[in-house]
Amino acid sequence: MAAKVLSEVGFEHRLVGYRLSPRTGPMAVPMYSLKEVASLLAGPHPRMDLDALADWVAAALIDEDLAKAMRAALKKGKHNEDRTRRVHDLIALRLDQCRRLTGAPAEVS
Amino acid sequence: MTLGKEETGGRTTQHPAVLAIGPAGERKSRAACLIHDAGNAAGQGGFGGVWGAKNLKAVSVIGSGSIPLTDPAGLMKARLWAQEKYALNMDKLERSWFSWFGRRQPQNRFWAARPNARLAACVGCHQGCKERAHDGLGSESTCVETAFYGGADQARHGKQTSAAYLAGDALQKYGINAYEALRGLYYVRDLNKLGVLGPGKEINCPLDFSRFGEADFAEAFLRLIALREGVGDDFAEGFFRAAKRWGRQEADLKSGLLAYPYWGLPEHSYDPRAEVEWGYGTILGDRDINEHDFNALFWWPSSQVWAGRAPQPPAQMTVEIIASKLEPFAGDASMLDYSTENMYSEHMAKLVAWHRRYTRFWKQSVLYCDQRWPDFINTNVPGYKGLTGEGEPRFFNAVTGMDLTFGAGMELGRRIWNLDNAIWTLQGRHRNMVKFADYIYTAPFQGEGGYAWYCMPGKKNGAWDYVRLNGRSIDRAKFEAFKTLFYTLEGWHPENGWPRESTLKTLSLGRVAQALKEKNRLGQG
Repeated sequence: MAAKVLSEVGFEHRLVGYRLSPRTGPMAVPMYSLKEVASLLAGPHPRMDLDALADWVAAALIDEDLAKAMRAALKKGKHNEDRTRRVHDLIALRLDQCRRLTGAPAEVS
Repeated sequence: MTLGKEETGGRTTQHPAVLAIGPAGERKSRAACLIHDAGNAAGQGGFGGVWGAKNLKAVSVIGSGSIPLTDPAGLMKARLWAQEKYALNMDKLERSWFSWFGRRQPQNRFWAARPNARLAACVGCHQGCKERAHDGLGSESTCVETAFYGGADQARHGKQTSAAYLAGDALQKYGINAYEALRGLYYVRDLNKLGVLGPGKEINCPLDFSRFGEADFAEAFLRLIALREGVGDDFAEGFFRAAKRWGRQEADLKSGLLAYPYWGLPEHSYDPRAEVEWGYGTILGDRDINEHDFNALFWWPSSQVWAGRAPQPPAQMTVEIIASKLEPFAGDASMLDYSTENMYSEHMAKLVAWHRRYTRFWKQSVLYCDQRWPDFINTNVPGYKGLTGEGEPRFFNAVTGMDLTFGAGMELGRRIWNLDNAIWTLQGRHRNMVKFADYIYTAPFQGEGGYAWYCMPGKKNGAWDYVRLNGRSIDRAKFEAFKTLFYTLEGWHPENGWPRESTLKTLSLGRVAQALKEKNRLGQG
């Protein structure tokens, strides 16, 4: 499972979020891995459907536990900025767990 | 005293201003641009390729004179007035509501901040939006060249590395339009993920996508475009045309995989389905408008709503302040109603017309900076009314000695806009060509429910609010009706969009009318 979580998915599981930057505007960001999602959510102004993200984690990465934790975090979130941060923290934690298990290089996101 | 060549021996210590093309322009790429210093480019439209076709590499100018000012004291007074009344207090920095997310850092740089970089500004600017870094990488780059590879770099490495700066510098070294490169980069990556593009694939491309996010990948990608090597020859034609060569254009424009909504140009990211004044202005013109005058109406409320806060100022106050400044349509607040119910209305047609006229004169001719003008809402002043309307003529008249009013400038802008349409008409334009890519009509703009994030002013149940614009597309038939409204407003014939003789004569463009008449392209009436 750890390897799956760290892997890239195929085009059929492509996720699209947005990175907002003044002037350049809301840039659509296609993502193919949880690592890319974490990177987007770590930025200053990410936008995406976080419910759909939890579904994607379950369906594309087969990580039901993470998806369940995300859904619980989303329910607790006071607003979308808060929800984004909570979900990002969960994803970062999961990535770290998986890297340790697989011996992949540690990164900070 | 001006020293002649005899005295100087033809030498000078002055720094030349150079506008040049890079290897992409030399090879007539449609994605090539003209580059000046760092962070300044004439990007869209393939100007670099045009220069290359004319065998023109660069223009270098050394100033030998001065710019005469009719009223230097008046200009200085205008500057101090703008700075004291409307600019941030540099001794008491605080985030202002309608600012671009705070001003403690360069406004227009989207890679991660570096500790050893200082703010830099164009001469005379009272704000500043660039930076100079200790390592020289990416110095003075702004906007899209800083966004080009920042995301890919961060996604790969977990943090910003020099890859983003090196990629931005490479864009400028090769002389390639940043938006085209950015959209193309993600498009080819999507095609690689689809399994149709890559080494030995249907679209044979030597790029090693396992290196996506590394500096060498960006360099290799840009080099392909610049040197037209192999598949780079397709890339160099622009990705709209590349997709056609690959037999994918129709399908990818339908799905939105190729995010090129208008005139074969990539999305600027202010989606035409949401921020309609941008999309309409672009499709009714000839290129991405790249004029950010109304973006604050999206940025501020959207960020506040996402953070669970009620945006301030309230929508009604915001639109009334701005509407008061939209001469010659001043007072029509419905021009700023972006709701679906109003997006095809004559009010919106007036907003688009105002925008085209304002930018044709006050920005594209007088060259007021898009970073700072117009100043509609300014939270540094009580009542929040910015300096637009008063500021534009004040600076202009101090320099020129003219007595131009803001409204007179708008009328000049209208004249220029009509001249542009006349030129396009002579080139063969007809209203039937003025249409978006299919996905704008058929695919809803992403985001819905609680995660809808594109907020702009609009009326909801008769009351002003910041309404969410995700989830909608443009209705093809209604947009055609909108075009008719717009053409009528502008005095162009609604059947074809051609300027009418009466309109051109009103604008002292009788000669233009004659030229159109000779080519049987004059709108009747």
